[in-house]
Amino acid sequence: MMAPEAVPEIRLSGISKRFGDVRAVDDISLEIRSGEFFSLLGPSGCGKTTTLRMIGGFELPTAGRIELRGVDVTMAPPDKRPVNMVFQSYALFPHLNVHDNIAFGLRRHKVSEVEVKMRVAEALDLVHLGEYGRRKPNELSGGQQQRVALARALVNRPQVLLLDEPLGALDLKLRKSLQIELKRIQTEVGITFVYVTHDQEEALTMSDRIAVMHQGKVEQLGLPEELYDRPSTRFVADFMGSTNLLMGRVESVDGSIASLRLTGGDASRVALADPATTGDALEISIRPESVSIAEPGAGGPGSIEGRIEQSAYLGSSVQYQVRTQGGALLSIVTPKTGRRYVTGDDVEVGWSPHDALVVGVRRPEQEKP
Amino acid sequence: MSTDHDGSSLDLERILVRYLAENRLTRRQLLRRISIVGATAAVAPIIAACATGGASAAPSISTPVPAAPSSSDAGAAAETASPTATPEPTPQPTPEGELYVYNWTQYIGDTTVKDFQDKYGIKVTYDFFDTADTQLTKIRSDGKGGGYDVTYPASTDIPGLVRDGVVAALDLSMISNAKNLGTEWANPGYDPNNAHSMPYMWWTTGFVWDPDKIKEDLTDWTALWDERYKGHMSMLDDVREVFAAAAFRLGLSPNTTSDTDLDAMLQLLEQQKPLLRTYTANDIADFTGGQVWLTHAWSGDWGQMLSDKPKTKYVIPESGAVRGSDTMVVLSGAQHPVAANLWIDFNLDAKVSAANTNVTYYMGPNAAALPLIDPTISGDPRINPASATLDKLVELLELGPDLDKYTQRWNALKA
Amino acid sequence: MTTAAAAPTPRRPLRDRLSALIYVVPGVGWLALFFAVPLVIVLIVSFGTKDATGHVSLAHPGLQNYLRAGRPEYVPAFLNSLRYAGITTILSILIGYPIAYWISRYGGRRKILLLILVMLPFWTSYLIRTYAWMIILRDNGVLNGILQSVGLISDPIPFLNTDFSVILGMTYGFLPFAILPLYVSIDRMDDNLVQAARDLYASGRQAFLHVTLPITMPGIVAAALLTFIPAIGDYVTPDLLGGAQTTTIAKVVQVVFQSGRDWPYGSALGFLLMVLTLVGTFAALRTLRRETLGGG
Ligand SMILES: Nc1ncnc2c1ncn2[C@@H]1O[C@H](COP(=O)(O)OP(=O)(O)OP(=O)(O)O)[C@@H](O)[C@H]1O
Ligand SMILES: [Mg+2]
Repeated sequence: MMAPEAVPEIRLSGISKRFGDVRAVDDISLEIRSGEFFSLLGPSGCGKTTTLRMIGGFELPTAGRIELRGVDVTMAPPDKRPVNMVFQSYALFPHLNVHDNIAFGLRRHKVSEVEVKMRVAEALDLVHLGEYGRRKPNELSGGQQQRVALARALVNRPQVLLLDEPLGALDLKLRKSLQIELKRIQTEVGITFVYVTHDQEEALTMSDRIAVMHQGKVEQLGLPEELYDRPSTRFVADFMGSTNLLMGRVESVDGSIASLRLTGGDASRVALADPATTGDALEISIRPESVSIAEPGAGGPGSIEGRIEQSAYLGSSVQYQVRTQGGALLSIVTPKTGRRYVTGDDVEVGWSPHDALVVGVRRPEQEKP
Repeated sequence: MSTDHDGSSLDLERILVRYLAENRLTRRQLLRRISIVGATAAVAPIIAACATGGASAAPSISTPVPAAPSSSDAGAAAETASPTATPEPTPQPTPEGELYVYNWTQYIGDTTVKDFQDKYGIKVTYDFFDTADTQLTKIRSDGKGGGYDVTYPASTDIPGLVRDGVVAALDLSMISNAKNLGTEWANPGYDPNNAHSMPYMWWTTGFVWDPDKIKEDLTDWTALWDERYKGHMSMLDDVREVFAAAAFRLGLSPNTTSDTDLDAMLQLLEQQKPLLRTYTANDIADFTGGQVWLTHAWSGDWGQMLSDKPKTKYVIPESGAVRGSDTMVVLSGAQHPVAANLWIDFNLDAKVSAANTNVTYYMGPNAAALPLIDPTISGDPRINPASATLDKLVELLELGPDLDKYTQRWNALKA
Repeated sequence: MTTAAAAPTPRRPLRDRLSALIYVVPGVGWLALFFAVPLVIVLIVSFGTKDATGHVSLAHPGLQNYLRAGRPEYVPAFLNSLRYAGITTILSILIGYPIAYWISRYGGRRKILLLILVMLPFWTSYLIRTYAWMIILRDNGVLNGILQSVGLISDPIPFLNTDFSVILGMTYGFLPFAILPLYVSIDRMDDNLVQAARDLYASGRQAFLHVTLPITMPGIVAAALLTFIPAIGDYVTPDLLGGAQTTTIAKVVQVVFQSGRDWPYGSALGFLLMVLTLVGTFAALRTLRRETLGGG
């Protein structure tokens, strides 16, 4: 996938971080390309912040190596790394006004005061805070503070900007508009963003690539649509959005299509990415929007009978909870233009084998009696 | 009546002072003990003893007598404690249960307080001052004794204290031991017929030196101006005594009130100041601590220094010296006047008086006690000079408002 | 940290204000009784004269005591006091700051224990602790003994009764007063701020100078006040650990009160000292605020 000629902006090779007995980060290797909007996504405590802080130099790895544009910076202090960080709590200096906060990094680099003025003004414009230079941080709203923190980092024109849940403390509406603004700024300045979030939707809309982390490890790394459509593990599938997870045993294999007997007795089919043999237990994932719903008898071959347990109107779509004959509970989302069902209606549900993803395999010999 | 005599805010300090009083352990002795076993170790048992009521007889470090077995004063003290002490008529008034005594540190026998308590069942609270200024300020603060029953002013302060009503007349009917006084003390000039005070101890003021450090034999005040001993000399923190030393050097009277005389004395003292280590309220500790080799001192303090530095020498300077005496008085605001008079009577008992001298090295006015005093003390001409020597010494007189002339110059000197 | 500049709040109802007053009364009463009343007495006495017996007389009140307060011969003692208090304050902050910083940043779960240890000396009387220093510092004391036994010196160094021993004793005594406010201000500071500074290319030293120091300045000022004000009037330490050359203004006041028995004059000196200290303190605070917090 890597463009062959480019030295990666950041290369992590086998880095780990332990706090006492806690493995906060466990042997992560990945490469981040220049100019990319890269997200570290995962649930609370999975090691996102620790990974970011090791890139920034605030935490030294227990093992492994960190390179920035091919230069080993594993042991370099933060002030010796061409990266800047936007802290989750913003960490604005309370004793300095907005202008001096933003000028802080430039002044450490002994940039002339004339240039400092110019670049601070530029940065303030970039984040639409032109008039706020003389305010103290405690005279700003949360969103304004966030933008000052961003300007304070960007004004230094770092190679890499590290952002630790920068929008976490803001309300939904503000978060949405700042997401767009962040993306605009990133495109405008063209530098690499490493973005930490636990919000999969945020990661999906903003990122070029995403690494999903779980218990200190990278569970899957890829484009947003890859992660969403082809999660490689049950954890990723679950984490990337609501999905239907079903267990089944392979009854027969026909080319790349396997026939399954689901727990509870329903029959289903799945397209295999990796070979499987009869008797294998597979865990499959089907997105709610990939499940079709039809009146009894109209479901076509391979469909499963069930009954509507709940229906909810979502605005542009309708969500149903369907209990199959075999007892599985499926979540289904259909456009609202189709036929509407009510609780208690009998239906048939089904999906294309290519929309069902295998996210876990257990061979018979691995199963304990 | 509050027990808050010295205004110190720390309970612990008060506990400590009480402990020191009850166990006859003075601040100086405590210091010495701290220096031997370390501060925490020295203080811990005190706190513990105080916590348990202070009843335990903690070991107090007794001061051995020079060139005599140290058991001698303990023996004398034990004798005093025995019920065979001079019998006396039972006084008509019933004594109160308590007594508040205010005295110099290390200026009483090791067991005197306990013996008194045992004999009369009166609980004694014993407080210390370390300069006469502190004492006078305290007892004059309310004009009637600052809450104490008995204190020990210098004889020269008596006329002023009597005139200002700070001290009460003694009840001589309770002080039958007054008969023990030597004849020269029976009707002193400062207090006719001892109506308001009983003499306690007398002394001379000279200086002491450490012959290990200073090889020559010193005879006169000029030694305290000697550049060679710079940084190792002290003068007493006492305005009159310090100016008296200068007066003797200049051939002036230490009781002068002439501004010209005083300016000359001040000038001489200002030459001396850069050579001094301290103006000390703690001459014994400064000397035994090693930092001072040569110090202005009272005769009895020299005796007490001998226990640490047996070779220490004392001289009554040739060009003149101060002699003086301290008295015991009942304060006019005393809440326990009967106990106070009994206390004074008790201290004039021959055996008690001798025991006091054997510990403090100060000679008392008690003729009856003389045979009981350690002969190395009573026989030492520096502690107990012949009357011919004594006659040449000068007593400091109370100067009234003219004292200001001294204190102003004293302040200018020390600042 | 974010205290939004609030819009002027409407006046509370009278009843609320009255009930709030109830909580204030004991404190104000206590202050009035034990602080203001003695002060007023000192002020009144300072206008009086002493009569022949040394008693205070208010028959002819006037400014005479103040007029003779500024005697040139007291200047050295006053300068001594200033010098001791100043050096003690600076040392207390220089020594106390790293200690407070260390406890706050690395104390972990033992923070409270460490703070109690800082306070530990207070469990013993100040007098006893000062005596202990005498034993350590005197010529045949512990310190000289150690130096001599390891052969560093042959003759004892005169530590006691010098500027050194006075400053040492005062710094020892006042250090905990400096550590506490320093600790509070350092502990309250957000750790991320230092990291943010490091991230913005500040070296460790620069981060301290440009971020930690200004943000903890209120703690430093509090520490300085809590050290300097009691230090300038300290009597016990210079008296016990000092010597003939270390007279302070407190000692002068004491001599006036005790040897001179001149309470009006002593009161005037004491009152002047207090006013001078207050004026000096406020002047220092004002310049400090202007310098560290910047104009506007
Ligand atoms: N300084 C530390 N000392 C001990 N354990 C730590 C430390 N920092 C982090 N950890 C632990 O390491 C693990 C990963 O923490 P990290 O802060 O990287 O998680 P995160 O993914 O950023 O979570 P969140 O989304 O909640 O911020 C957690 O179990 C955390 O408790
Ligand atoms: Mg985090």
